[in-house]
Amino acid sequence: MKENKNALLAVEDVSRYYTVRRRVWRKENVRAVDGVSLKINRGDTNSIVGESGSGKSTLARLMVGLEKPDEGRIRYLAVNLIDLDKKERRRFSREVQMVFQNPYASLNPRKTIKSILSKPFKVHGLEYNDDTLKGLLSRVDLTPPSAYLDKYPHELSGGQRQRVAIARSLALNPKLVVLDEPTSALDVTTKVQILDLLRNLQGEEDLTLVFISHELPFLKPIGGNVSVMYNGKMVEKGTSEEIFSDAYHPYTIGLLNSILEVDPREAKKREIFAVEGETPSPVNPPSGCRFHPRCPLAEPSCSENEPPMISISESHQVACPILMKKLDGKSLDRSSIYAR
Amino acid sequence: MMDDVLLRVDNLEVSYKQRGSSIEAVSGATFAVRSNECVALIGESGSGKSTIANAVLRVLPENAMITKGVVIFKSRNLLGLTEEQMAKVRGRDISMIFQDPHSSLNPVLKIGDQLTETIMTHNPALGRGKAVERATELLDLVRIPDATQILGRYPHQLSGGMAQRVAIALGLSSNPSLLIADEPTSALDLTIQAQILKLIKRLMGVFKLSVLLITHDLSLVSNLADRVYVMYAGQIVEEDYTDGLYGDPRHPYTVLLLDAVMKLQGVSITLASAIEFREPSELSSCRFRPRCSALSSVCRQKPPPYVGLPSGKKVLCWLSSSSVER
Repeated sequence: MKENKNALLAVEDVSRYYTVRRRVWRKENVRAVDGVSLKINRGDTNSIVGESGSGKSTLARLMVGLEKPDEGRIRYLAVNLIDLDKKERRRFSREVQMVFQNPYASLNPRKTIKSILSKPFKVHGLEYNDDTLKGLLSRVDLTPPSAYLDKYPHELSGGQRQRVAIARSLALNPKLVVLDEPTSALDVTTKVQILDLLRNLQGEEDLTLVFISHELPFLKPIGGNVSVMYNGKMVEKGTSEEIFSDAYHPYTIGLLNSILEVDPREAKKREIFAVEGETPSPVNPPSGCRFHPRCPLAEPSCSENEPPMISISESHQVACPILMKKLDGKSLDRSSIYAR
Repeated sequence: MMDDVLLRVDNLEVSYKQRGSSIEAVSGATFAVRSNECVALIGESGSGKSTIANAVLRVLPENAMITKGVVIFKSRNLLGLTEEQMAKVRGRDISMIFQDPHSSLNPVLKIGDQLTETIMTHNPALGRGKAVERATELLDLVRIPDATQILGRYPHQLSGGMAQRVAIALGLSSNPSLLIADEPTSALDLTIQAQILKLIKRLMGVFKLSVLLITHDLSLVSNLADRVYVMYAGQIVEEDYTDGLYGDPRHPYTVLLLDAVMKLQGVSITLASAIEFREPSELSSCRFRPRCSALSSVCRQKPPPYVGLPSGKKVLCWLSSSSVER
């Protein structure tokens, strides 16, 4: 196998199961992540989008080593995470960081910002001083930084807290930062600011970002590569342009169609679109393609065979052979596939 | 035009008591909902929009007090009713659905029991058999497939989308004339959000419902609301028809909100006002002043007037007469 020199983190055919007890005597597996592969290249921005239960957050936790895969492997700089020795493990935890959705929960309410930001240095036994911490605060636009050091999280707004959480993740000069829904808990106006901040970080050398989100529209301005997950499976991945304007999976197309029009004058002209049906439970996923019960293009074979990932271009892959076949090189109005 | 007003809130003031001092959450809110109209209250968290909804239904937390104002619903002042009378209005004439659908459902009762119980409370003459029939009908109406099966389930066995449908069915069981929807879709997935939105829109037609929509999501407002009230720091700062608000926003906060949404959609815009929330320095002058970029000297001296414009728009701003360059 050819080794990609730029691959920072490679998720290879990874599955993660959770055991749930539905009856006293019976245990069942929840396939939270099921056979997912993803390559994160150095310096690229990656987004993973999916609804609740799609496995996106589990994938995020797997990527930063908070969970271990039950099958498959995750390699950081070509070394399997479970093969890391103690020293390498410490290096990994320094270089790979995570930011969580809720900045009200991820910052200890009893510690000052100074104490929160100095913790990573203490854990890893690294030198720091007030200027280092102030530098971090100004990197996330909390200025003047000296005004924030002695504050407690409750004295800050939601946006400011998320900035502190981001500053902490940047403290040890990480190579990879995984952000799990970093803006979902914030107001629209604050969201814009955090997004601006993250877009500035995107440009920084040697920093790779992974966004996990359920808000498809907000991923558009971020660009980079987008992976779409559904019910534990990767259904489509490609560049932002490919996903937003040239999607091949009926689920991705359904998601794009259900983005609401913001201009009321435009909204009046068009019906609200909704993909019918429920998101299936990962305990008992549908056979074959997991989207087939909701899919307008489903054929009998869809419930029998799990569709493989098909390459459309070097960067674009889709786990649905049907639309490809239907299109057959011709162009098709993608919004019409759901029309009855 | 004014005669078909279903709900009228006049000069409402609500404050919360906290550690001896009192904090004003809503000041001087005045708005109306007409019959079969969807009116949205939009604003960021802490702007007072949910407090208004709770005040209308008189379900405020214990430390909250309505200090001023009237809430007229079908020409009765709800604030003057006894608790017993109010209980009849709640659920019968006005229903409410919440962000977390599970909070409107009783976790230890089967869906069927909750629905039939509610139906029979409002309609004691109806037999149990008929009530079950009506419950099945309601579930069909909110497009729950296989209604009979769902009747035997507990709330925790339902997905968020299903639970919200059941909560809506429960709310509609008494044929209310007003539905208050507090962030009805924000806890739901994108595809399910669209389903619930479609449902509310359809039900407005079927039941001739009026909807008071409480949200921070502008796209929800654009797709559902006929008129909008924009809230900032406890005050209504602008009101207009949805089209007018979007096409010609006048209050600097509305402009900021719209620009922020545009920006999130990838349109490159420089935001004119300060984005981060800033505590109003004093409540007597303009509360948006610390963030505003369009300031004139008068903003500092006197509270802004609520100016009505020929288009029907009203704006709480000294500079309301001039269109904003965007």
